[in-house]
Amino acid sequence: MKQMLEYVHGNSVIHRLNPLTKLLFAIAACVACFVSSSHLFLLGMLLLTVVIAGAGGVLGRAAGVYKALFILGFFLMLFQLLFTPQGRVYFYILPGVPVTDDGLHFSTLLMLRMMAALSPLSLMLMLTPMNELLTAMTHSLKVPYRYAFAVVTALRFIPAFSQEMDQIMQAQRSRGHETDTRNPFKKVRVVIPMCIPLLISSVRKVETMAISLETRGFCTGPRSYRKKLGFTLFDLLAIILIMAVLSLSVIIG
Amino acid sequence: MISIRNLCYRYNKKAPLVLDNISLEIGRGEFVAIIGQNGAGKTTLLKQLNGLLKPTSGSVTINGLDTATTRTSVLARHIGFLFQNPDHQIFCSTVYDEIRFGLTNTGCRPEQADERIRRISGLLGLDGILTRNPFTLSKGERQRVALASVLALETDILVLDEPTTGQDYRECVEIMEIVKDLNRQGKTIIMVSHDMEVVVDYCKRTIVLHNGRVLEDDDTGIVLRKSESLGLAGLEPPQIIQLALRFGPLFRDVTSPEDMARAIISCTVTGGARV
Amino acid sequence: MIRFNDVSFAYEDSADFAVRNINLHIDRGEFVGIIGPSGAGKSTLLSMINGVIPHFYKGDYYGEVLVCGKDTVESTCGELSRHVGSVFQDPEAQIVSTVVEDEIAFGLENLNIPAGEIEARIDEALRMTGIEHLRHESTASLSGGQKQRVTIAAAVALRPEILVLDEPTSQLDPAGSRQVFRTLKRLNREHGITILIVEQKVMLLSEFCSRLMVMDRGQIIMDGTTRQVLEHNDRLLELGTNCPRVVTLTKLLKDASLWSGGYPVDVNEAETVVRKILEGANDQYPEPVLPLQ
Repeated sequence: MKQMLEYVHGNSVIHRLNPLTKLLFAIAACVACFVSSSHLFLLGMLLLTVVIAGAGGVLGRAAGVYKALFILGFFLMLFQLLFTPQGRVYFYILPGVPVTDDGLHFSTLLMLRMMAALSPLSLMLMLTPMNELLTAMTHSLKVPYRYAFAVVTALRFIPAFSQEMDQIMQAQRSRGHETDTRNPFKKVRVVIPMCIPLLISSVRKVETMAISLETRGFCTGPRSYRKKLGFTLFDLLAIILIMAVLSLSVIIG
Repeated sequence: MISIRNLCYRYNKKAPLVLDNISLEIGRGEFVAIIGQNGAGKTTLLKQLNGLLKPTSGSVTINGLDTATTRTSVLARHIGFLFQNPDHQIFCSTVYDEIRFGLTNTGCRPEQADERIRRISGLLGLDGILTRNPFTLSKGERQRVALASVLALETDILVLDEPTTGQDYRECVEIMEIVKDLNRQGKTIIMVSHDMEVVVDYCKRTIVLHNGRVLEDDDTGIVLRKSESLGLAGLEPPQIIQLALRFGPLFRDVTSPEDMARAIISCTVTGGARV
Repeated sequence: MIRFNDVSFAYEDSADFAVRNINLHIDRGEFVGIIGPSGAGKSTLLSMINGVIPHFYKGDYYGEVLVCGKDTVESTCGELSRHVGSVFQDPEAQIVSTVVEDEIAFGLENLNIPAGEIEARIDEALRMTGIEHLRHESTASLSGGQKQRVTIAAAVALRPEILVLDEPTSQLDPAGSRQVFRTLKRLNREHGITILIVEQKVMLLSEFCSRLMVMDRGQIIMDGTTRQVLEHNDRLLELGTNCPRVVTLTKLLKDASLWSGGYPVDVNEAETVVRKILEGANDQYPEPVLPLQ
């Protein structure tokens, strides 16, 4: 999970793009994927993300993202398939539950949409350092620093909390607590011994962090910024590409 | 009791070996310290003992059970594990419930459970606070509650991951005296610690881990004198041993200030030095 | 530099005073260790220096704390951060950036230091703490000792005259702990930064600190040079704080009338003591004994 959100250091073309450009791409890609109903377009989008991942040097990590989204998408696909009875029937999976051509069409569309719409977001997080995102949000988007910081720090803490959760799970398992059960009701009871320590630990960390920030002059007045974010030719090209993709999604339909 | 044969472990296929061909035997009633730098593999090794991590190759056998094929919840009846941070375990609203948690997991009958809980809390001095919320207690008290909940499982083996970190000296001694008592009653104790003084005071045998390998494995008094190996592992001998080493063979078996004082006194008397 | 005038403080939902009648004076360039059992009020004391009390934690506040001439109640935490750098126990909860140099820049940006000057200050902070080689490293990949050194560098970049540290090595291994102490020694010796450190590792404190304060139940019960405080090692053990083993040894030798000098603060001095005893002399480090407060 943390692999999908953690920044990977690098100096590629993609890394050097303005974070706003990358943010714009993530949002535009999402929109385009929902506007379009063409399998071909969605596949094309996926391919585009693969190219971007390659250019950014994160193909390995990206493969993990694709796999995770594929699994999620696959379940959604199955779900959709079973609930779309209209169209020409191919065969019956269960008595009264047909697999139809319409069903296949919509369900595969759903799966592709899921993958193509969400992977750009993950990619963008992998290829943008947090503080650049922060600077972009405060300077260009005029988001108050406090809120931008909260969002970025929350993201930065996800791997730390994930690790903490692992440790808590291991501690409880060592006391004979079974954590793997398929029963959803049992699952709830099983999860409480892990959520409470995590919650308490999170609150403690947050308190220490808040105090630490106070002692480093956080939000005590106007703030300077070390790095200036540029807008280069590549950014312009990227924006043109984004516009093209969006228009294509509308045209193809 | 515990038999580790050619244990190798890596987190996944591409990762480097965290544990590299470790073979160890730990017998009943031993009190063993495992020391080494952070990242040497100490906690990873401990987690192999109760099945939280399974060997990539080699085997770990606890009381005849192979950890690779036995569930952690079953191994929990043989090997109790106290983690470094008690707050990773504590979640109940009373100390009593917290101690009982493990017992319900391992299928202990309610009548037996109550008796055990009272006995253990007496042992650890928690009698007066059984109804209190663990989160209102001090760090040292919470550590004792976590220890109580582990002891309630009445396992023959007890594994402690840095039980004295972050505690003041008195709390540290309190916990270690309890552990020493348990060892005297026959429990096997395996402890990871950074505190060389605690290791020299309580543990009979010390294992030094470095880069996932066993560097030293012998009596504590002997291992803690090997300053070269310790240095390699990023450690230093405890103060008195450091001092003793500077005098060569003169203070060969000294580990505590009392030992050393006795040795010096006898030196000055027999050496005929002016006193 | 730091002055406490009859200070007492009780936290908001507590009836007891966390610290009582504290009178304290710390000069520029001192390296002070603070020891005591849990709950003695050590963290509270530090929090009153960096302004966390009363700006973050409220309660009943009596007396006056002056830091570099500024009253900590009337100055904000932000103002005080230019004079007092703070380092806490959990490095994970203090590091906000993904890259080391960004972490050091963070405080500087907060205080609106011009962008041009920031680079120079980052260089300076890295040099002062000896971690230039970590500049471009990802903070997540660092060891505990390295993380704490980054935290110290980030605090030092703000050019504080004082550095307060609350058990910074409690989660570190012995090598990491020593690294941190060495860094602090360097900052103290070469740059004149006043250091106040709360720690349980009495042995390291004895080796590095020139002055020790012992707290118990909200009061400072011993305050003097390291050697003076170690004289009262029996009291230290009674309180539940540790005392260096070489000091315990020397006490036993004194009881056997083999030594009448002062106490060694580390293994090197202890070696001298033992050699002298074996050679027949028996006094060194004669120092006035500190009266117990």
